[in-house]
Amino acid sequence: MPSVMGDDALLEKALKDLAVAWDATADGWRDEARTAFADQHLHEMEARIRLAVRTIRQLDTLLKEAITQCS
Amino acid sequence: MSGANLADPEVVRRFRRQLATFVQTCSAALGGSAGDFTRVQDWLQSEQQGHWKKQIAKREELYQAARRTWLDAEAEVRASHNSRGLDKQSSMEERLLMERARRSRDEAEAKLAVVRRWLIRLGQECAPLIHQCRDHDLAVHAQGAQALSRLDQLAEQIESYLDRPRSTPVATSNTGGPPCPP
Repeated sequence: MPSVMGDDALLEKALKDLAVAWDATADGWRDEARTAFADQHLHEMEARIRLAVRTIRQLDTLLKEAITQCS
Repeated sequence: MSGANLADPEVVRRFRRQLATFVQTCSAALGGSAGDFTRVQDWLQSEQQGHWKKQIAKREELYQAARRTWLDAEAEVRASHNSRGLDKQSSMEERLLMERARRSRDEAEAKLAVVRRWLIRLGQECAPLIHQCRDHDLAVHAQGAQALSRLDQLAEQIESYLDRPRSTPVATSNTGGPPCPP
């Protein structure tokens, strides 16, 4: 019987780790370029990953239901 | 750059490495979902469909055997009644066994129908989600490449600024100029 990996959790953890790493840069990097970088790059990526998490959850739900009903 | 306070380009370099790892992780996760879909689809097609087809054949045989046993028992009961003998009074037990075998075969048929319905449903509902995962993957990859490139640029600007003699005027632009050390 195949298993479904739960990659949504992997993505959420990656996002969390990145946020921690980003916050850590604040100690040595405090200028407008940092703010601009977050606005122009990080926020957009974060929004995309949140969409991806939702898509993967929908997919996982379907696959798990198929496995349960067909076993 | 007003309000700048960057001490070490290594801060940017370190974050760049973490961002690169993040992009790789996301790509693996999004690709993994397509793999999950393929594995479940293959499992339904090759294993479950075949399994329930064999079960139907096997259970049909058992049902037919139970039915023959019940018919024999019925005949025996009728013969027993006609001869007013007491050899066989009832075929109830054989009938129950036959009905159980029939239910078992029907269950296998229903299971195969469920597997077939799921194969259709997965094709209809999962395929668009897999496409969405690919789109997310491509987008994160492109956004990541731009972000990494920007970090390279920033780190290089800081390094070149730090390498300059102290008399060099400090850039004051807020849009892309090198961050200034404190």
